[in-house]
Amino acid sequence: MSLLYYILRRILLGIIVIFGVLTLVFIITKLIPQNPVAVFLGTEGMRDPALVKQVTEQWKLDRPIWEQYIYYVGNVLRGEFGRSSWSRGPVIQDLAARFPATVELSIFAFIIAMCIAIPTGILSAVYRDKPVDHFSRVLSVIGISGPPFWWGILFLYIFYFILGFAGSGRLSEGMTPPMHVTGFYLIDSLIEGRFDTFFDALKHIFLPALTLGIGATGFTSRLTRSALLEVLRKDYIKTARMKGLKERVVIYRHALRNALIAPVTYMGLLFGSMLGGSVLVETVFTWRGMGQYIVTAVFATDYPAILATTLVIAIIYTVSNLVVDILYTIIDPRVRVA
Amino acid sequence: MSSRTYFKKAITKVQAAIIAIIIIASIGAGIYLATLPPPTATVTQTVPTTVPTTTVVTTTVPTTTVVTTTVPTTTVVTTTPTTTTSVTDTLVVSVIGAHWANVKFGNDPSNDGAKATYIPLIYETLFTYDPISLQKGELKIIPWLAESYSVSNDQLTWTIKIRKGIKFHSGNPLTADDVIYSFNRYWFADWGKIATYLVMARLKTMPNYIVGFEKIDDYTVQIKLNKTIPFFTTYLADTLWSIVDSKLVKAHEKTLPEYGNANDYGYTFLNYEFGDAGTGPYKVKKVEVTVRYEFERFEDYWGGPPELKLSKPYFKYIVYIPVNEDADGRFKLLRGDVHVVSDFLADTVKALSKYPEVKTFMGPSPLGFGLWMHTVTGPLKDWRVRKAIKMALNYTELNLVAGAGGSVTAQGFFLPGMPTWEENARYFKDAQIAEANKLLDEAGYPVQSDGWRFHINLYLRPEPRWGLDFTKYGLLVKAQLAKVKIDAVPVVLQVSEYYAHVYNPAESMMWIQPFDTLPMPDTPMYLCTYWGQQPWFGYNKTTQPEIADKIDLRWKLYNDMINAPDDATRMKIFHEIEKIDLEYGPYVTIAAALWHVGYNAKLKNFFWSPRQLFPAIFYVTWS
Repeated sequence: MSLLYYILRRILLGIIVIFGVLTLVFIITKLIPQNPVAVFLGTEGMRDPALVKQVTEQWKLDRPIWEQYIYYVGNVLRGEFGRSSWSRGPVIQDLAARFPATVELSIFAFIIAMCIAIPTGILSAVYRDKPVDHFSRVLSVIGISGPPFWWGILFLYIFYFILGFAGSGRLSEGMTPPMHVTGFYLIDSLIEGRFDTFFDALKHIFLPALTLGIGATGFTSRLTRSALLEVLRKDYIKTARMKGLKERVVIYRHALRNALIAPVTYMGLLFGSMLGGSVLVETVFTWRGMGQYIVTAVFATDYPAILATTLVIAIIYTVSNLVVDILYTIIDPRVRVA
Repeated sequence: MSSRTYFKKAITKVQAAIIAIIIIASIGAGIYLATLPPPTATVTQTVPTTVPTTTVVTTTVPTTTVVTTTVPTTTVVTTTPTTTTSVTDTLVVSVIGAHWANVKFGNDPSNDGAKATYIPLIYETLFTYDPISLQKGELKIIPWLAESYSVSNDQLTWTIKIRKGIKFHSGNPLTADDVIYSFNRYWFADWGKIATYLVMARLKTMPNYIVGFEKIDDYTVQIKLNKTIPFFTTYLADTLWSIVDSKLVKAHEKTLPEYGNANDYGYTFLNYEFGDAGTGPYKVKKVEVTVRYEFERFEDYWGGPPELKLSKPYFKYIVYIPVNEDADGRFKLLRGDVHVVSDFLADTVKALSKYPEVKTFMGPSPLGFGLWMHTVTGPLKDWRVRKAIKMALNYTELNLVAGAGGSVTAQGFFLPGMPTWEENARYFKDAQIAEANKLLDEAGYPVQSDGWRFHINLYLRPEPRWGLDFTKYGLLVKAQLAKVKIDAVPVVLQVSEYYAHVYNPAESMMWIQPFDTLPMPDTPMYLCTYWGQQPWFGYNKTTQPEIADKIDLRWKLYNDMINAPDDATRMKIFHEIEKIDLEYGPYVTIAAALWHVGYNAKLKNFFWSPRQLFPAIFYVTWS
C-alpha cells in the first residue's frame, strides 16, 4: 500500500466522520426541547407575533426538518455558518477571531508539555527506580491530579500576584495588540518588529500554556517511560548493543523510535483535546479563545455557534488523527503495510 | 554497563552543553522578564482645582453597608503592591464575568442590557439618577438633559424642555431634532426586518402606549401617550431613551443587502463599528471588542445640571477590561493593575477587607431574588400552602448564610435604597414554623408515610448573579422547608431548560429568579406588561376561585395605581397590591443583592451605582 493511497484513504474516512458529526449534532440540536427563536428573541420579543414569524422565516425554521438539514449542509459546504444568536456576528468571523488565540495557546502548551514530558519519560526509563524516576513519578501524579482551573489560580497567585510576572489576558494593560496577520500575537508582533509586544505576549502565554500542558505532561511522561522500558528489554536492543553501537544510537534510533508509537498516538489526540478543551484555562486566564466561545454558545443555546464549533472540533480531531496516522508511517513503516 | 552510563553515552558533550545553555538562557530571560516593570499608562497630572462640594459617602440607609478596610489584625502573607504612587490619569475598571466581554455589545444605546457598563458614560438621557442621593445609597430620578418638564392632567402629554448649549462628541449641538430622531429610531423604526442582525431583539412592548413625539421648538419636545405609563420619568432614564446625534447617525445609515436592502438606522455604525454619537462625559477612544474598551474625557462636556455643581471628571481615560475569574480580579486589584473590580463574590469582599491597599463597597443594587411558585396545579395551587412556604423561610439566615452577607432581606418588590422600600420588606417574620405547619394541615397536606407532606422541584440557575449564588439560596430554602416537612428538590438547569419549566404554568414547581425593580428605569414597562397584561403564572380567578375577591381587588388597585395622579400615590398603592401578593400570591422576595465592589484605596469619594461609574465619575479622585 503506497503512502499516498494510505493518506487518501484516511482523508476520506475523516470526511465521513465529519459528515457524521455534522448530522449527529444537527439531530441533537433538534431534539433539545427549546425553540431557538425564543432563545434569540427572549421572553419579551416572543410576545410580538410578527417578529417571531419574521425570525422563524429568516431561519427557515418553518420548513420540514429534512429541508432544514439540506439547507444547513448546503450552507456549511459554502462556508456559511450563519449568525450567532448570542454574539450576533457571523459565526465564521467569531471563530476566525478566536481560533488563532486558542491555537497559539495550544501549540505553546503542547511544546511545554512535550519539552518536559519526553525528556523526563526517557530519564525515568533509563534511571528506572532511581531518585530521578521517583521524582518524575511524583511530579506526574501531581500534574495529572490537579484540575486545570486550580493550577491556573495557583500559578496566577504565585507568578502574578507574588512575583508580578504576568497576569491574565494576552497582553499587559496598556499594550496594544499587534496588527492582525495570523492572529498569533507571538508571530504578528515579530512580523511588525515589535519586540516589546512579543516578550509581553510570551510572558502572558506562559502561565496558561503551563496550566494547559501540566496535566498532559504527567501522562505523556509516564507513557513514554513505560513504552521505552518495554522496548529496552527487547532482543533487538541487546543485539544493537552487542554490535557495539553507541548508547546514544541505541536509545534514540533503536529504542525511542519504537517506543514512541503509544506516546505519539496520545499526543495527537492531546493536541486535539487542547484545542477543544481549553475551556477552563481560557476562562481562568480571560483568554479570548474558542473555549470561552463554546461555553457561551452552550449556555445561550446558540445553535449556529454550537453547530460550527462542534464541526471545527470534529475537524481538529480528525486532522490530528490523520497527522498521527501519517507519523506512524514515518516512525514505523510497518503500519503502512498493515 | 550501568543505566547511568547508557544515558551518559546517549548524549554527546556538545548536546549537553547546548541544553545547559538553553536552560540557563531561559532562566535568565525569565528573571529578566519577571523584573521588568509592568507597562502601565500612568503619567503625572495635576489635581483638578475644582473640589467636589458634595461628597457625602457615609450611608444613611440602614442596610447600605460601606465596608471600610482596616489594618489586618492577623498576619496575612502579602507582597508590596506594585501600584504606582504617582497620580494616575487612567482609571482601569473591571467587571467579573461581564456579559459585554463575550458578546458584540457595541455602542448603540438602544441595545437592551447596555444600561449598565460604560454606555452611560458616553450617552445621556433626559432623566437620570440624582448623584447626591446615590452617594447616600438612595435611588432618585432627576432631569438631566431635560431642563424642566410638565405633564397634562390626564398624564398623556409630556412637554419636556431640553437644556441649551449641550454638544455631542462630534461637536453638533443637541436640539429637539436629536431627541425626536432618537425616540423615533428606537420605537418606530422597522427593526423587525433586521431582527437577526441586532445584538438583542428590540423589545417593542410599549408602542401601543406611545402616540408619537413632536417637536414644539428647537428645545422643546412633546411626548404623546394614549395610555398612562406609571413612573414615566423613571422610564425616560432608561438607556433605551438615550439621545443620539441625529446628524451623525443619519449620515451613517445604510442598507443591508443580506436583509432585502432594509435600512439599518445606523446600527452598523453604532454597534459593530463602535461609532460614538453621545453627549456624555467620555467619548470612545479605542475599542478591541471583548478585550479592552478605552474612553477619553470629553473636554467640551456640558458639565451636568448646574445646580449640582459637578466637578470635571478627574480621570482623562477610563479603560474597561474583562476579568472572568474572581481570584484573578482579586489579584489584579491588589497589585494595582485594575483600580475598580465589581461583581466579586461576597466572600471575596470580606477577604479583601483585610488589605489596606484596597477598600470594599457593598451598597444597594436594583437586583432582587424572588422565590416564585406556579399556581395552576398541585399543592401550590392552594394559597395557604404558598403562604406557609413564605412563613417557614428564615430570611435573615438566607441572607447571612447563603448570601454570605452580600444580600439583605426584602420581601416585596422595592429594594433597599428605594423610596418607601421598608413598607413590605419584613412582611413575614423569620421561620414561623408552627404557623406554617398549621396552615399546611388546614390546606390538607398532612405528613405522609415517607415523612414528607409533599415533594416539589425547586429550579435554579447555575451561574451566579452579581457574585451571589442561586444554588446556595436554593439549598438553604430546601433545608428551611424541610422543617415543615416539604421536600423541595433543587434542580439546577442552564438557562434554556430553566425557562422551559418556568414558562410552563401547568407544572407544579418553584424557582428562584432574579429581577430588577423600581426605580430601575425599565420597571414601568414591566408594570404595564407583566403586571397589566399577563396572568401571573396561573395566578388568576380561574385557578384561584377561593380568593377571587382578592384578585379582583388586586386588579382594581392595579388600575388605581396606573391612573393615580402622581408617582408618590402610585408607590403607596403599589405596596397595597404587594401586600395582597405576599399574602396570597405566587412570589416572595428572598434577597436584595448588594453591589460587591473592591477598589483601590487611593480612590477617593468612590461609589458605585446602577449606572456603575456614572455619575460617580464626577466625584472620584486619586490621591
